[in-house]
Amino acid sequence: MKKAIILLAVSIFSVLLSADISLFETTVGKNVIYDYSKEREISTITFFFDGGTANYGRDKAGIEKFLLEAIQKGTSKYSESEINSLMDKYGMRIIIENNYDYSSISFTTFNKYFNEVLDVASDMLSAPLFADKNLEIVRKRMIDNIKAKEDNPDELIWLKLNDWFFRDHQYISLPDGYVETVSNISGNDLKKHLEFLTTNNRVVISIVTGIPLKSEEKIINDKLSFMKTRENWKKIIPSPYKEIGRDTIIYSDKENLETEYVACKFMIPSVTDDKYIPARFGLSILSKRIYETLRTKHGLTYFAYMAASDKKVNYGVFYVSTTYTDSAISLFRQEINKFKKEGVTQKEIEDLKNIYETSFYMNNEKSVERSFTNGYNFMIYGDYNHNDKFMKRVGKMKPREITAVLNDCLKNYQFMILK
Amino acid sequence: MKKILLLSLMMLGIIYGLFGAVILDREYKTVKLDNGLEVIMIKAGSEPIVTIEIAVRNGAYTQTPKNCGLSHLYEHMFFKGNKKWTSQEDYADRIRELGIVYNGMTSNESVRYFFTLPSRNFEQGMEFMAYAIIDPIFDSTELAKERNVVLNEFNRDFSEPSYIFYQMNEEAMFEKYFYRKNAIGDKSVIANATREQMFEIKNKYYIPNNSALVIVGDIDFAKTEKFVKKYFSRWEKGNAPSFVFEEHPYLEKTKNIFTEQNVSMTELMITFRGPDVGKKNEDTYAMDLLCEIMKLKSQNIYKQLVENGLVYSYYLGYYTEQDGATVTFDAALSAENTNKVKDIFFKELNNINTDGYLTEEILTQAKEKVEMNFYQDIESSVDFTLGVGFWWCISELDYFETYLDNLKKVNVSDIQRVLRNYLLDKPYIEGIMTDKESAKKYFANKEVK
Repeated sequence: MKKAIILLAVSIFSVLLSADISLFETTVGKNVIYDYSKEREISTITFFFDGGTANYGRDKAGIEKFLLEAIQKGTSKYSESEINSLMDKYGMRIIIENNYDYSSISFTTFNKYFNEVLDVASDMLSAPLFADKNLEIVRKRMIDNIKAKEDNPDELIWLKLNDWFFRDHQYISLPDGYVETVSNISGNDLKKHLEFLTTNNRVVISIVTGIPLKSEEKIINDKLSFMKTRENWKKIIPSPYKEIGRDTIIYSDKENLETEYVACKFMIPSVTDDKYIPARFGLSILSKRIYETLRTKHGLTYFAYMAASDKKVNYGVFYVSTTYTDSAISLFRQEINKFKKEGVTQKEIEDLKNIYETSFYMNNEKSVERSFTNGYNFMIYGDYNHNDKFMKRVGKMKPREITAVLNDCLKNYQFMILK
Repeated sequence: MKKILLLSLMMLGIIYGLFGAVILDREYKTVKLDNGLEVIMIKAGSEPIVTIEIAVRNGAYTQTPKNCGLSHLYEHMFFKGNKKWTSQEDYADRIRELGIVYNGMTSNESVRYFFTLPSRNFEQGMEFMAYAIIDPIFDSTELAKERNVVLNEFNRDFSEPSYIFYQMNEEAMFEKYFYRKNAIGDKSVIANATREQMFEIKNKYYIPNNSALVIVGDIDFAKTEKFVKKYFSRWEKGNAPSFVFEEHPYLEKTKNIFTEQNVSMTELMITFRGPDVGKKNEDTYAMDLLCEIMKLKSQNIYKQLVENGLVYSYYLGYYTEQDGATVTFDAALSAENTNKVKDIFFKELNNINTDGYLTEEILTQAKEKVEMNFYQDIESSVDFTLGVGFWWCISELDYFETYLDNLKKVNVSDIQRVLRNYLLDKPYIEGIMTDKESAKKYFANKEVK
């Protein structure tokens, strides 16, 4: 029974260790981060494609996920069966992520197979076959997965809340797509979109490895030369969000639930905004208080938290599963009011800093997570070492700054209650 | 025999300590305190952090109908205050001061707790772990609140169709003593749990001679040993608990579970009894490899099932346990493909039993894949720690330590032996979970549960 009581979701943090990180230039511009440390046995290369929902309309929602799934089904050089055999042989693991602001695909293997995996990766991204039969297999799987999300109450509630919260915004284009959009994406759409991503869009490549750069730079340049985005990419700024100037509570039903679920979103500063760090830190402190009030003091729930998301158009969240919904919401409001009145203490900041530090280190251990973090930070902040800045900023943070930033955000709560 | 083995292991630990013994290429050392606590120290990871884990031989398999679910409730109470940090608030404050990321997990045959913290706070972390494990106070008010917390966890689990389906399959397989497989437990038992019951578990299982302290990360052996002795020597030894159970009866015939749930994908689950660890360990290695072979992406079954789009995903897993291990084939698919998928699965089992089908080359590939999985999984020191704790609970460290060497010794005939002894023509649980519409359309003759 895994118990989800770790106070913080370890997500986008890393750095602090003595790795040798370089930036070098290829045909995608100076957008390749090479993070070498000789102790690493496992290498990861992650490709980030900037834009996400900004790259397509609602009618093509799901296209980047479809694309990154379909390229694994065979290329001009490797058939699907060959790719699968190589996955066994090299212990190759592929992870894709489709987000509102970007899509990414990562390839992980042992150092000794890195060049072979790089070859497979570059072929997938440059010469996929998109055979009709395979596209139908991917499409069917995606559609059933989209439907299956509604089976799980925890997923269903966020889907429904997202539909409401972003109903007039580009983020309504769910990165996983909708049944009707995925049904209509063609092979030609995928080809065009892949071309767009690899020749007209910003690409960031993040490598974490135990192989020194000297022996890899030429190989990487050669393998990735099909990407030509050095000059063309434009900065992507998502459309602004129009806030609803009030709280809303929406109720939804699902059969056979043994507990109720409450999810809530509210706007916070963009991940690129200077106020994001105090907002994020403040919400982590509030999360601790909410957890302690709802779970520890009152025993109302197994799982309750608040958190900051990490989007360009950004939101904070509150979540609880409970059979005492009214009490839980009332206690949430009391905690918020208390926060607005009393703010946070310096000790709370210091304590949280300790937890963040441990989380950073934990995240650093795994090549795949570090590769993701370096790339994400570079793509969003233009600095793979952003976490150093984060920690320095936090080191100087005072309670009043957190209180001031969050006081502006803690309003206009959009609740969804699943019964 | 067991004592001799342990003694050898300890001696090996000492010898290895001098010459730098390695486990999966990481330097390690073991010591055993006078109170019986086994300590496993591993230098791993590139970051200045340490994970401290206590693994206890407890969990669902030690339960009776009267305390079904209390191993898990106990795990929750571990985080609720002790003689030094008496209130929940003090306890939580200390967690934050030390920068601890923590968790606990209860499974059928192990309960594990871990703290990960910066190595500069290592000694304080050891002291904190010692008080948490040795001196819990089980405050009645805290217990009352935590019962509700666990009941909410229970309700969350049973709001998920896949969890309901899993429990149905387990219950069908282990009908007679299901309480020994039911870690989440019985709702009414949880709702009425008492402080006395917590102490009963503590006195019986939470003793040093039934526990292991696993420390992985940025450590120095000498210093670690010093802290271990300083903080854990006072833990009082108890009477070693008995782990002799009446065996779960084997299925006499195949049973079918069919359930309609509010789901979009159909799930097919075929579960067999597998080899219990500690009885015929050579079968456990062969069974792990058989499962790996069936999951290799280069193999026929993968091509037929995944590349052809008959399933969205599938898994064949051997859950190594002492008290009723299982081998489970689990596939997510469209309802109309259910019979076809089942046929392909059984046909592949039969093929592997045919001479010449399973080659040495495939077997070698599976061995390499298992080894790679091991190395990938231990990249994180927390995962490494939890793995060691798990294997220590269900067997001994020796099983983990020699695992890859034993795997290498398995040959094709071993695979065929376990195939025949545990799977081919053996009764199994066939579980199908689907939606109402598919139930009518494709499974009209099935009795709904």
